[in-house]
This record gives sequence, C-alpha cells and structure tokens, in this order.
Amino acid sequence: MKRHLARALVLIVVLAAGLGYLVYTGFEVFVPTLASAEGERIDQLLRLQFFLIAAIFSLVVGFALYAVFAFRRRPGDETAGPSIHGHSLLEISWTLVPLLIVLGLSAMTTRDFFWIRRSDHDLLIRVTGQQFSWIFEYPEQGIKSGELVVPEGKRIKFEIHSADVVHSFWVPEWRVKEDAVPGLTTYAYITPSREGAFKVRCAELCGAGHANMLAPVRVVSQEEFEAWVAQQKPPADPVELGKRLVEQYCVACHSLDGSKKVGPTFLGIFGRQTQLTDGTTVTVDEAYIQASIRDPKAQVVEGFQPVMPAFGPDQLSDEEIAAIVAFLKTLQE
Amino acid sequence: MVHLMSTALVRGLLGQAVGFLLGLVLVLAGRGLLGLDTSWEAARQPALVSAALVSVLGFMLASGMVEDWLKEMRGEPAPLRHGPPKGRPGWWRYLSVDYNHKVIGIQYGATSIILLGLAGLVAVIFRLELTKPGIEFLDPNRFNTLIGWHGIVMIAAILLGVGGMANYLIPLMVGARDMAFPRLNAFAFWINVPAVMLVVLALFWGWDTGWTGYPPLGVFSLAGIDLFYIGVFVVGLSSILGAINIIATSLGMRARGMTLFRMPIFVWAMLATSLIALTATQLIGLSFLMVVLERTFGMHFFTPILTEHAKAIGSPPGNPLLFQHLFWFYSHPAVYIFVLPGLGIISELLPVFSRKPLFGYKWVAMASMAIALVGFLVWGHHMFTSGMSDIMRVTMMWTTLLVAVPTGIKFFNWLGTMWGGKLTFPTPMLFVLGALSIFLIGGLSGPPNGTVTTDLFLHDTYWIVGHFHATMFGGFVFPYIAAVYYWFPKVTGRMYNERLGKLHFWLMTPAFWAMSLSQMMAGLWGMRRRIVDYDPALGIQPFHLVTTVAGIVIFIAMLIFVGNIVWSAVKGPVAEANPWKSRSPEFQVPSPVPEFNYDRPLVVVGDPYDYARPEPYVVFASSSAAD
Repeated sequence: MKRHLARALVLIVVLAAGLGYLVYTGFEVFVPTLASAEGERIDQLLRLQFFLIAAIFSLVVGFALYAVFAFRRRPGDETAGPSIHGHSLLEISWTLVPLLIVLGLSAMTTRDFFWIRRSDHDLLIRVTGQQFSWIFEYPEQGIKSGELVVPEGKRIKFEIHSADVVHSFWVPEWRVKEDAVPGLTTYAYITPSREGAFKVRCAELCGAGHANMLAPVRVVSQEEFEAWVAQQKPPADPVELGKRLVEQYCVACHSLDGSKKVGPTFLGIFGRQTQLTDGTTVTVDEAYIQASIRDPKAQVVEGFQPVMPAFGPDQLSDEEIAAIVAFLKTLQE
Repeated sequence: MVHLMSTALVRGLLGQAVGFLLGLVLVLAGRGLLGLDTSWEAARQPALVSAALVSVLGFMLASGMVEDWLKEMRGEPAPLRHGPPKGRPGWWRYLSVDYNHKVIGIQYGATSIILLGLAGLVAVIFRLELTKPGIEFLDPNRFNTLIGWHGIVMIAAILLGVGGMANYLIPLMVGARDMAFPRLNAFAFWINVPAVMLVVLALFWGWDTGWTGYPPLGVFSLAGIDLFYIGVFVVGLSSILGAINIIATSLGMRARGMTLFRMPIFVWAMLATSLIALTATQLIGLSFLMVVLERTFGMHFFTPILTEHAKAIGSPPGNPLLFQHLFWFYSHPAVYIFVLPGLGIISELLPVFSRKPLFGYKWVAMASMAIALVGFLVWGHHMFTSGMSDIMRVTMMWTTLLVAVPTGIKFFNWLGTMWGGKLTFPTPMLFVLGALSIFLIGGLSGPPNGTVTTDLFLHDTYWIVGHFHATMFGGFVFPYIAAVYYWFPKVTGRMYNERLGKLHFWLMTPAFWAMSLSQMMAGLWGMRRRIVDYDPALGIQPFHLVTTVAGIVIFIAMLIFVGNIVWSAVKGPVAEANPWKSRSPEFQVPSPVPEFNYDRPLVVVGDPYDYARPEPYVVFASSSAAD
C-alpha cells in the first residue's frame, strides 16, 4: 500500500507542477488587461485561488486516476476489496485543513474588500443606467456626458442610480462591478491605473437592448481630463448636440450605418415612408419622431418589437429632441 | 384510442384547456360587469393570471388526481387502488393516476428526461445564435425568452428527476411496501403537468427576465411572465408535498434493524434534500406570487417607481432587493436540492463498483446534513454586486466558503472508497467517475465566486455560467444518468446496451469538459451572461464556437442515451436479478420488482456496503417470525 501511495503522490506532484506552471506563466492571458488599482488586489487573490485550484484538482484527479489504473479488478477475480470503513485521523485532517484554508481566504478577502470599499476619493461621478444607455454626470465639474472620461491615478467614487430596472455597471478591465438599482444609491470605487479606451458593459439582464447597453470609456491624463471638461459645454450647433444625444441614448438599439439592431436604423430615416405594425403607413417627420420618443409603443414600425422605453421631458427636453431631428436629417443614404 | 382518451394525462389536459378558457371568460365578464375596458390589450394581463390559476384546477378535477379525496369528502368509500388496472393495456397505468411508488417514480423519471431533452434543444437553438457575434436569427426578446425557458425547464426537469429517483428507490431501500402517503405522492407528481404546460404556454407571449424573474423588469415584462411565475409556483407545491412524503417514509417506514446509520447513503442524501425542499420552497413561491400581485393589482412590493394612484394614497416605494433576498433564500438552497441526491448516487454506486465499503459513511451522511444546514445561510452570495450592505456581503462570504468543507469531505471519502478496491467500469461506474470529474470542476470554480472581491469581477459573467453548469451536470445530470443505467435492469427486467452506453459516455464527458472550460474562459475575457450579441473585439468567438459544438455533441449523446433505454426496455436481453452483485435490498428480489416490493418483512443484519463480509445487508424474515 505504501508503494501505491508513493506512486500516486508522484503523479499528483507532476500534475500540480504542470498546472501550477500554467497558472504562473498564463495568468495574464486568462484575464483581460488590468487597468485599476482595486483590480490589482482582485487579480492577486484570483491568482492565488487559481494556484489552490491547480493543487486541489491535482490531488483529487491524481488519486482518482491512479485508483482507476492501479485498482482495476483482475479478470476472474471475484473477491471483494478489503473491509475498510474509514479512518478518523484522515477524516479529521481533511475536515480541518480545508476549513483553515477557507477561513484564511475569507480573512484575506475581508481585508481586501474593505480596502477596495474605503470611502476616500478624489472625484465623484454620478452614473445613471436606463434602458439601454448610460449617462455620466460630473457634479463637481457641472457636466453631463454619454462618454465616461476619467483621469488616470485618481480614485473615483461612482454613485450609481437606475431610472427603470436593475442594471450593472462594469468595465471588465477595472474588474469591479456594482448594480444600478432603481430606488437605491449604490457605490463603486475605482482608481484607473492605465490610460486607454474601454467600455462600460451592462452586466445585469435589463431587457431587449441589454447586450448593447455599452458606453465608451476613456482613461486620460489629468491635463487631458481638464481639457475635456472644458469642452463639454453643450454645443450651440443643433446638429452637433443632436449627434451627441443620439450617441448617448439611441445607438444601443438604432444603428447609424444601416445595419439591423433592436430598432430601425437611423440611416436615411428622416422623410422615409414607413409601414407600421397596425398596417398604416407614416412619413417620418418632426412630429413622428417627437411622438416616437415620448410614447414609443403607440406607433411601432413593422418588423420590430414594442420594446423601446419612453423618454419624458426630464430626460430629453423638446429642444433636445429638435436637435436630434436636426442630426437625423443629416443621415441620408 | 379509447384507452388513451381515458388516461389522466389526456383528460387532465382537456380539463386544463377548458379551465384556461373559463379563466379568460371570468375576467372578461367581470370587467364587463364593472364597466372596465374589455379589449384584449387592456384585459390580457389579469385574464392570463386567472386563466392560469383556473386551468390548474381544471387539470386537477378532470384528471382524477383528487378523486379519492373528493369521494372521502362526500362520505363514499375510497379504498386505495392496487395493482395494474383490469382491462387496460400495460402502458395505461403510466399515463394515469396510479398510487404505486414505482409507477410514480417512472412517471417522474420519464417526464424529467423529456423536459431535459426539450430544454437541451432550446439551448442548442440559442447556442447556434451565439456561435457568431451579431444577431443572426433570434430577436432579443425571443432570445431572452428562450434562455429563461431553458433555465426554468431544466430546473423543473431536475426536480422531477430527483423525485423519480426518490420515489422509485426510497421505499425499496428502506424495505417498505410503498411511500407513506401514496395519494399525496400521485398528487405531487400530477400537479407538475399543468404547471409545466403553463411554462410551455408562456413561450407564446414570451418574457425577458431569464429564469430569475427579477423585478422591476419582471413587473414591466411581456405577457408570458405571469404564466411562468404561476407555473413555477405550482411546481414548488409539488416539491414541498414530495418532501413531506420522503421525510415520512425514510424516518417512519424503515425495516427492522435499519438504524439511521445503517440506511443506504442515498436515503441520507434524500432526507437532507427534502428538509430543504420542505422549508425553503415557500420563499420562491412567495416572491413570484408577490410579483404577480404587483403586476395584477399594482401592489408596490418591489418597484420603487410608483403609479399616480399609489402616490396619491401615500404608498411607500417598493424595494427591488427585497425580492432578491426572498428569491435567493430558496434558489440558493435549491442548488443543494439538485446536487445532494446526485452526490448520494455517487456515494451509493462507488462501493458497488469498488467492491469495498463506503469510506467514512457517517462523515458522508453528516456532510449532506451540514451542506443542507449551511446552505440556508449563504443566499447573499448571489447579491455580492447588488448594492447589499458591505457587512452583509462579508458575512455571507464567510458562510459561503464553509460549504467547501463538507463538499471536500465527500470527495475525499469517495477517493478513500476507491483506494485499494477492485474496480470495474460498466456504464454506470463510468458516469459516476464522469460526475466526480465534472463536479470537481464545478466545485473548484466555486470559491472564486464566493470570495467577494473576485466575485465583483466574475459576477454575471460566463465564468458563472460555466461554474453552475458544471455543478449541475456533475451534481445531478451525470449521477442521474448513472442511476438510470444502474437501476435499468431492476426497473425493466432487461439490460441496456453496454456499447451504446459507453459511446454515450465517451461522447458526452469530453464534450462537457470542453464546454465548461470554454465557457469559463469566455467569462474571464469579458463575456457577460444573458446577452444575445457580443463584442467581437473581446476575442471570445473561438470559445463560443467550442461551447456550441460541445453542446451539440452533448445533445446527440443524450439522444443515443434515450434511444438505448427505449429500445432496450422493449428488446433488450433479459437481465438477471442482481447484475451488479449489490448488497442493497432491491437487488435481492426479482426484476422487475414485484408490485408490493417484498413479500416478507426485511431485517437488517449487516453493513450495506461491506462486500468482504459473509453475512448480507438484509435478510427476509420467515413468515412465522414476521410480526
């Protein structure tokens, strides 16, 4: 029996060494680019757990594989295996050792979690999720944007809201995610540690447009951030304003290039004759666009589902809708 | 044809259709009398709720599943019917209300396999959509409906599969003639049929929340969601009633000498499972019912956005997190309802094919109870990113990780059982080993979701999809398949085809490993759950391709499985009474098992799994010795 044990242990060590090497060299390949200080703690713990997984996987699979090959019944052997019912010392040790491991993991995670969630921050950004777009408000800077632009190296407190159903605010490269829950204010703290372009990706099923509920993210230097803030005053040109609003609210479901998404494309939409689900035909003009934004389910274009949320005057003013119309007029084929 | 029309299934479904129409008419007529809008657009929601509820009653009355109880209420004699009904073909009793636990077990088991197939087919459909980025052929609402349908029908299939194993095996294993409450047993099975029909009907209108039904999205969802909520509510009723029966039978009807620690280990697993099902299922029923009430009567339990009327009367806003707490208080322990029986099957079968006692029997039994208990204290790990307070998140992490300890105990005792044994590898043993390997993947991918910080990253990604499919396949599907192959000769008296069984295994197991790993990798690279379209820039298309191909291979393997058992049940070679040389009592009687299981009482005289001992596990009391 000792010889069996020794051989099985060799198998386990070989397996564990191989898998451990895979984790050691391959961890960066397993996860997306790391781009936040909080994510660094998360990745450290994840890497540690991958090593543990490699070890425990090797232990169990090593013993099982060895048993499958070494303890096959020989042909013609009708006898039973030995009458062994258990081993108290073994039982106690494989209860206590895993217990210590999980308690240790819990303690480490508790420390990291409170570090990630500590409340000091350099910048406050108010995030609102709504079907199917994200809005970012910078109360200290007095601006509002559909693009999330943040300075590198500054700890940001995100105050997260939802206007309708549950969404989840997530940038994979930052690792941390937090739900946007209607009626509640939730928080996430992130210190971007790498400049670059990323995306906010809604991580909680929120309806038909969920898959494309994305928002662009740019992490820039402090100087670039300040320059960006300065240009963020609403543009005077209605076409520019309209373009910005469409990119903010509409493009998750309406393409600008003629491709089919959840809703009809905006390419060439203005002035088009469109067939509705009730069989009538309508010309897409200022009045129709206004009505379709305020009460989208009243007149639905044939071939599409009535899934668009309504936008009230506190989300889009009449002037803003007029700007959207001005922009749509420019999208001719 | 006459026979078919007289089955409970056909009568019940007709009754359900009539009930459905009656329910619609009730609401339309009621609204007409009250002077409310009776157009379909306005009346559809309450009309469907009413139709769903009345249709379940229609099924109950027309199928005859409550006939005996109605007779007793009227003061008429209602003796328990026994044996195959006279003048009916052999298959008839399987489509009718029958009180024999083995018939009910087969009814549960067969329904479970049909539902596994349907939900699997739906998975193949949306996997094809996900093979490439972009929206190919499923519009988002249809995609969302299908993922929700796949999830909930799989859950129903698993609950029914657990019911099948428990009903068929527990009376046999404890040496009883039947379950403690045979009529309740039949009721608990048949109530699933109208419930599943409602969920099938929900496909017609669709719903977009997935199986979790979260409000506020659920409150504003498409019309099919009420049928889904009510269908699940009724399946839950079945689960609770079944649990009562299993607890009563395993605690109250054991053979002489069968102390708790001499029960077959599967009975322990079912006892632990039933304790959860009996006490937690109410919470999902309640949470779903509250959303239906919110949708129908505007009660603001969960939605913070108030109607004008609610504002006028000063109603406080609802809280979406309240739903999540109620929902997960069941839906996490539900995972253990699914996997404890499967782990019980692994513990039951390993000794037979290792010819060696179950290592650490008491530890394995107590590990099941420990998982059941700790399982009640961990629901919050589904809400680590939900906005729940930080201190709750940390507390729920400490409790969650504790589950790893009893789960580890099971694994190590399985290894101890195999170690030094005389192993053979017929199909059931292959599936037990497959289950072990897959549950290991599922189990080891669990702690990274359990530690809060890493879960902030992994939550709601495909990593989770990979994790829970591995736990469900390793903890239920593989052991269930092992159980079907293992007890097949006992149930049918015929042997399945071993070569097809092995083909099934060697197709399905590697395909599942590939599927798990590719799902987890896609998740790590940023693939979110429940999206119809993904960003090609993430570079995850190869993982999706592997997942889809593997899914199709698994589906084909399952078709081979069904073909094998259907063909073998009719044409297979006649099996011997104890093909596995098991010590378990059901293998000491002829196959198929006689109508009343054992003609003489059992007495336990030995160990259930010690193959080296000369004395058996059970002996049959001689007639004179029987009390």
